[in-house]
Amino acid sequence: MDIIKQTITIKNKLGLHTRATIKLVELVNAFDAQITITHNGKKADAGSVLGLLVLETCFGQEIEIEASGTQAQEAMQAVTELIENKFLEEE
Amino acid sequence: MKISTLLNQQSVFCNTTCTSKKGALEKISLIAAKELDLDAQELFESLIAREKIGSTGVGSGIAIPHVKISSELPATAVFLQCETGIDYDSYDGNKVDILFAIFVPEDLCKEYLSALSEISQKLLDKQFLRQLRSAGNSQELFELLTL
Repeated sequence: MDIIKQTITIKNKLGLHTRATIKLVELVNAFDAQITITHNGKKADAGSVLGLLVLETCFGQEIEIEASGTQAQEAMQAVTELIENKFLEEE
Repeated sequence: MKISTLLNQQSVFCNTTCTSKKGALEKISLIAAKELDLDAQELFESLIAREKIGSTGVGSGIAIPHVKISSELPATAVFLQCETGIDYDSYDGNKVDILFAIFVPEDLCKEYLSALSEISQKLLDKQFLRQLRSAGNSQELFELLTL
């Protein structure tokens, strides 16, 4: 199974906090894809809020996203857009 | 930020009777207000305001309600294990019976994420969750959480 990888910088001020994480998980769960996020040597299933919170990701830090599955491409695009758009937060 | 620095024995409650999200947050506010010497009603209103932005239910029957507090106050947590699950509008639709509320000074963004990470790491462990849910008393819960 092909795996797509992309590295992206967290742009919202609060980083991967609870609200942002829940938005991300809800988005990921809408696709037929497996997404994992790696940060600082820790890897998490992007379908798990607790898993993502463990990553402790702050503003300005890089994460690596890996996507696989039939909708990997679409899921990757949606996830990177959410992060680029600061999780729709004001800052 | 270690859980042992956030919790004390007076802020951990086992088999608590909670019938609603509002009721659970009221209990948390009363406990935290004592710990922080703050007004319980104000804390409750802050917790409710945060929930209105989006539920802090993180799935698997767990919620991590939180608010920022004044920078002069110490980071504090309150842990409730409810005897039955309550409706919490969690994204996964599950009722919540474990609430780990955190109160972190507003200027400590990194510490807030660090506390969330520490708590989440523990709560991801299914065996640990089972132990929390079957703890016989608050002392046992406190020891499990701070070990």
